[in-house]
Amino acid sequence: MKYVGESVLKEDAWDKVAGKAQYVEDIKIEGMLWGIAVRSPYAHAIIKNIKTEELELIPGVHAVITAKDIPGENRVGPSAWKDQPVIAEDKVRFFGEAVALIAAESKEMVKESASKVIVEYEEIKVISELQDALKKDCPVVHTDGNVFLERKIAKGNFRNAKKNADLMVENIYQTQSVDHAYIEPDSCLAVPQKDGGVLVYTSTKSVHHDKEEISRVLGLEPSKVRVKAATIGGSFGGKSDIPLICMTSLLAVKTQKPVKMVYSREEVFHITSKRHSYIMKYTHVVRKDGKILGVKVDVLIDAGAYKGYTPSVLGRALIHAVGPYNVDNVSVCCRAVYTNKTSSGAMRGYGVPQLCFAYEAQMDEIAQKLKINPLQLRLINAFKPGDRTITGQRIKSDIRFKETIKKVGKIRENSENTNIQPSTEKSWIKRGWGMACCMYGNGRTGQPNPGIAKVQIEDDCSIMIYVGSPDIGQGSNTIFRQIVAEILQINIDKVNIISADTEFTEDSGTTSGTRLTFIVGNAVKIAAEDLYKKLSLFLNEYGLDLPLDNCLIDLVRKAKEKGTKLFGRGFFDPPTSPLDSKTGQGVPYGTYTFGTQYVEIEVNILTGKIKLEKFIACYDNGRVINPTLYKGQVIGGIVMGIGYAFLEDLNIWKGKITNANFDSYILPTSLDVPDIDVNVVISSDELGPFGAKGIGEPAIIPTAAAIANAVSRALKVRARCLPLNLEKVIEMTQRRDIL
Amino acid sequence: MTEKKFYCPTTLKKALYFLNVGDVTIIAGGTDLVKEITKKSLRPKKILDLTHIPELKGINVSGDKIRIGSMSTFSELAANKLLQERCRLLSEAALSVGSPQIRNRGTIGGNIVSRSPAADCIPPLMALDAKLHLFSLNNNRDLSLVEFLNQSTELDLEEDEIVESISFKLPKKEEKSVFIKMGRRNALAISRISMALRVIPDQEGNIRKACICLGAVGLYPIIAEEAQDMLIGLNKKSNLEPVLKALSKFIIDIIGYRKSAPYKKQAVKGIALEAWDRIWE
Amino acid sequence: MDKVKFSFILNGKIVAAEPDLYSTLLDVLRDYFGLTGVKRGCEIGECGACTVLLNGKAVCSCIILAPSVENCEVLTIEGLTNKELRLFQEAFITAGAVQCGYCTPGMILSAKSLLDCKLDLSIKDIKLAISGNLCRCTGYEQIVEAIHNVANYLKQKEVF
Repeated sequence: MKYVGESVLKEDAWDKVAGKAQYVEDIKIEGMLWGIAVRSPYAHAIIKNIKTEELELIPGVHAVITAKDIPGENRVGPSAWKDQPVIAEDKVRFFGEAVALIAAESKEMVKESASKVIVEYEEIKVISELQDALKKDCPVVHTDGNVFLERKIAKGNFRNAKKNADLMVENIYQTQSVDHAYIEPDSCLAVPQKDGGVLVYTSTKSVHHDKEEISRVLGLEPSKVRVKAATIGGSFGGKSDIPLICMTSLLAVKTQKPVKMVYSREEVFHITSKRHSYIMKYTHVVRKDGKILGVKVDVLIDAGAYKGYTPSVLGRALIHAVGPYNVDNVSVCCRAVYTNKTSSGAMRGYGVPQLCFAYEAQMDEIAQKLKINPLQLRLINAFKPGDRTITGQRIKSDIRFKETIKKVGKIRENSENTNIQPSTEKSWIKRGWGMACCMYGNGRTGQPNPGIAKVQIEDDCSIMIYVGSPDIGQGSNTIFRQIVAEILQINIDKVNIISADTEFTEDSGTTSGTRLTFIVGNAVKIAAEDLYKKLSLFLNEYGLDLPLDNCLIDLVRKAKEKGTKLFGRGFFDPPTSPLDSKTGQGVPYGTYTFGTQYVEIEVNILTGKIKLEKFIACYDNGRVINPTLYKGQVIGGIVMGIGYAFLEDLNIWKGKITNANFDSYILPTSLDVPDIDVNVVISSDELGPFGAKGIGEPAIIPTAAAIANAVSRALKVRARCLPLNLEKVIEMTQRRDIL
Repeated sequence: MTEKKFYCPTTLKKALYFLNVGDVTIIAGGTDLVKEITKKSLRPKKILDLTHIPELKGINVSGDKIRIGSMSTFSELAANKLLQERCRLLSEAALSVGSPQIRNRGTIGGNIVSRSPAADCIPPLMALDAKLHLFSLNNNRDLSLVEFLNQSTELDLEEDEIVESISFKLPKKEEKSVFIKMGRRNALAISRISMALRVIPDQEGNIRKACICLGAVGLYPIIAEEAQDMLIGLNKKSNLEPVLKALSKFIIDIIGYRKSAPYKKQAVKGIALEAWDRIWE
Repeated sequence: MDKVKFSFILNGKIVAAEPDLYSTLLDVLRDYFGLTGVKRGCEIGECGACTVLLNGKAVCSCIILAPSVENCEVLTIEGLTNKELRLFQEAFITAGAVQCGYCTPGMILSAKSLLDCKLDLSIKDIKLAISGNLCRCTGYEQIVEAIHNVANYLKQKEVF
């Protein structure tokens, strides 16, 4: 193949390097105003009174908006559950929730005006911790109870399995909440249109969903709302903050001037969604030869103040709770709980990295207690073709999961520098290695989430792809160009793409759930094939000959003459079915990506410092369409996982994040990253475009788990919570439950 | 000139004249101060920028002393050959600060005046028994760094004074020194705990003089007297265990009531071992 | 709001500005001079997205008050010569060092400040030079590779 499998260069990168790429904050429009939200200094309070009259009189202030001014519905949410107000009405439920909006002529003016708004609050007790939300006498965040969702899945009979087991391993694990920390803060620019509508530029993972929300909140006909993605400075499951895009639009329509809102880094921390923190109880019952007979899992999920993504994350957690292992008897229960914090949402891995940490720690403990090689234990239990998942879905014959474990094992064996023996020179430096495995369903869990694409031959003889899902930096636009160039057998330089503009692209679903390559890529491929078929007929009719490169000019001329538009359309919804509400059975995903990560570390038992020596990662990713982009995803995911493992933590005091910027919220720097050896096993997904599957989220899922297992091995004490920061490691060294 | 809101003079004298008018906020590299303006709404009425004054720069030897201009940046300190050879603890501390961008801008003067318990240049300067040279329009005076910092709440710095330079005795050729910083990550890190160590070994390699200064423990860096005395007579093959115990106990003595104490009483041993390892290199 | 007049050399040209007293260099470069290649990430000097070269040295423009650069030389990504830019573009894009691109201009300026001093570079040198530039997308490895490739090329060619 000419393009698929090659490291084709990203077209958008030229402008990005030159500093010419336009992110939302870079876009300037004549007469633009600045918008700001007035925010609650309390995490839980009743709003008694808001005084904004004074503000309206200040010259330079163009609008002040409170909840009562919202023309449409003051409720937003990423899916069916729309319970979050854009502007709080009677009550604030998290620190920083917006209570009013202001538009003014300059940044300074708008900041100053915000400080002049007088709001009277009556404080309510704050539910800061998950555990607090469960207590009998605690206040409720909404009117229903704080535990607002509970779902279960069961397979086989766990009780029987327990009876027949030789070993039971039961532990409680806890993970922290973390931030996406994309370097570009959330931002939005809304421009009022003559027809009373609005054109919105935003940094987002879905322009179409944004459009729906904006039209509903503004009470506008959807046809009057156009949303266009600017260059996006990172997403990882975050963006857009739906209240932000609605606020900006509200101000623009009210003032009839363009309005820009850019979050400060502190606002990004306080306001936007986070990774859910979990408390998990795992019970594995195992036969002495290493076969896991049953797993029981109980998960408590901290949803924050609104439902948001939580029901969806919970749904995925149910299915992924046991990990990539074939277990006949499973019982999983997940419960979601409100707390007075900003909503937890979609963050790379969508609820699975937390589980991976727990189930992989269980695996290592089982291996240690049964005296089985940890790698061998995973091979014994690993999903293989023909097995059935917890929902009864058959593992396809193209799955190569075990191969990833074996490959990692082999690379480790062959590596010259494998140094996992305890150091004799410095007794305070301990060495360890750890591994972790994952599986991840590509696409939305059990819901239709079709990819839609159009491929058209333009009048200037270029090929244009139209796709609704944005490229958030990971390179999906490049993947799509490769696919189209391959199918049409045309020089890729002639292939361009317009993505994420509701005016020109159909809704192809969000850039999330590791669905762009597998689902949207398929739609793009089908669209290109559709076009190719139409072209063949057209060319035949007019005596023109392929390849396309040669006859393009004549083709376009002929099509113009005939008044024919040459395009193909593709639609791909993976063959899934929703889970049965009683049995939990169904086919939630079209395919799964599997992978294994391995890490070697040194731990200083006096300072608590973890030094990463080397990483090996191997995935069953189907066919890799672009090796350089694939490598970028894996390394990027691993480094994000390193942060999650021992650097990043949101410190929360009475619902307020106290480390709301990068001086105290610690991300990995270039000096914190070890050698990372990225691999893939040869495979081809039977459904994926050219056999490809997704890697975006699988890249991060096993990382913290592998590091935690390495630390546990080095210290001979099991890590049971993340993050493994300096203090936590020192605590571990003082525990007596030596392995 | 005195009506200016922002003054960027090129001589010390002009700076001192401006300062004399009163109500002036001094800015050095600004790596601490500008954030206060941007984020915390600090609103200085008048700003005096010292970064264009050549008299405040320079790292030189004068007699038996090293003089460092207060506006010397961390990058300049880290790159200085004299400091690298004779004053490793200070050049390493400078190199450990923040990031290249912070080091290119942040100054030793600013580091001292910032009053941050985790300011990295202070432990080495304390260990070097540094003196500050304060200039005002009508008066110059010298003050030891320890005196300067040991005021409980207010710095011993008048409104019309500028730290012109810092000086200390040039360490002997046979002296060995090192600076160890323990942060959560390997760059852009705030010290969790740090150690400046100076030793002078005799001809047999036994330590005859030592100084240990711990940073980021309590409000100001502090000399660990008992532990440093225990280094006398030790050589690179000696068992360091008693010194480590003494350091640990010292941490409990000075910050035992703090949440960070359980961590720091262990970590101090870790950085001491690393310092011991590296000092004999 | 008090204003301060000052002049400096921006991307090789002498310019003047009169911003508010508390404006940062970042504010002036972006809002007054329209140089949107300098990015705003955290405004406390911790992410490096706003990195520019001040008298050849990498600094965070968000924590420098604009008038402080009086008579100094400031270089932003827009000030690179066409040759330099092309070199960085090819190296970065080929290595896969650009994903969302938000950290990229800052990374390149930090790299340039290193490359202008020495070309015989170890991987550690490069990692140290960009240690004040956070990237959330790439995990740094491909960025380091790109910078290394630029250094190797320059060693051979002496283009600048």
